[in-house]
Amino acid sequence: MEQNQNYQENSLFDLSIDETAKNHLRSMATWSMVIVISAVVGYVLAILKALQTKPQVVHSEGFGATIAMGGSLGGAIFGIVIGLLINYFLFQFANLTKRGVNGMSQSDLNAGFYNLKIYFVIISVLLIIILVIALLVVLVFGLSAR
Amino acid sequence: MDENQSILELQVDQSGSRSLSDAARWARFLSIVGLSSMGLLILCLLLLRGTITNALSEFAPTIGLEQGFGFVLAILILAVLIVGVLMYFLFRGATLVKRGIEIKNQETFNNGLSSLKTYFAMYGVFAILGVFGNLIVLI
Repeated sequence: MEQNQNYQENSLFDLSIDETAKNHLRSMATWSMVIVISAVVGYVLAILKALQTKPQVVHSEGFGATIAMGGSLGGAIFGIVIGLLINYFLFQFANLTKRGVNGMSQSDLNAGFYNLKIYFVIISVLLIIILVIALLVVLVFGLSAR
Repeated sequence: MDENQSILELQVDQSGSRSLSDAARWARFLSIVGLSSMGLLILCLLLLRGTITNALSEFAPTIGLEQGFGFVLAILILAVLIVGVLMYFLFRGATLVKRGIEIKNQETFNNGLSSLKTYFAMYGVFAILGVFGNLIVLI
């Protein structure tokens, strides 16, 4: 009976961001920022690693040696660009959500939630692309093995 | 007093609930694909046991065949467990947040946020460990 009454009371109004929800959102924002910072440090290390790897001199015609060096750095830069794009939205989520909760700003909070949505959408779309490529590779290898 | 408080309180309004519901839907998809991929990985590992053992014997001949496969299996099971737990919290968080918004239940919504918080905290810890791992490799 009491539960039913609670449900009816809740269904009349929007959900509120109470103290518990605020604490959870603050923690989520803090950890999201940790993830973003770790990712950026990781990207710097990836660039350093790519620059450190000695270019394999391929004695071939034209610019074979340049391609061998550019492959490692190019791959790292490609990964970093995608990673930065994903982490930009996570950063925006962390920043706006924290500002919204601390400053009691509804628009900032909504913008934070929107950025979280974009973050998950981008990761999911990338995952779909990776899965399709993996499936194609398996199919090609499977057909060529026959 | 209560009325004043509800006006000043932050709400999950229409715009916010739409964004959060969409985020939860995509997060659920991500977690289901993640969990399925982990299952497939284990299945592939067991099916390709012979190929992996042969490759290991060529790569590191000093290691015994069973020993080498056991080592690879242990590392992969650890990775699968970590990713599995991460995906479980993401799935639980997304499901509860979405349900909380749909039935407008504060407790369910807060439980969902709590699971999402755990997901981000675990992810953050592993991100820090990853950075340290990269540093060690670089040095």
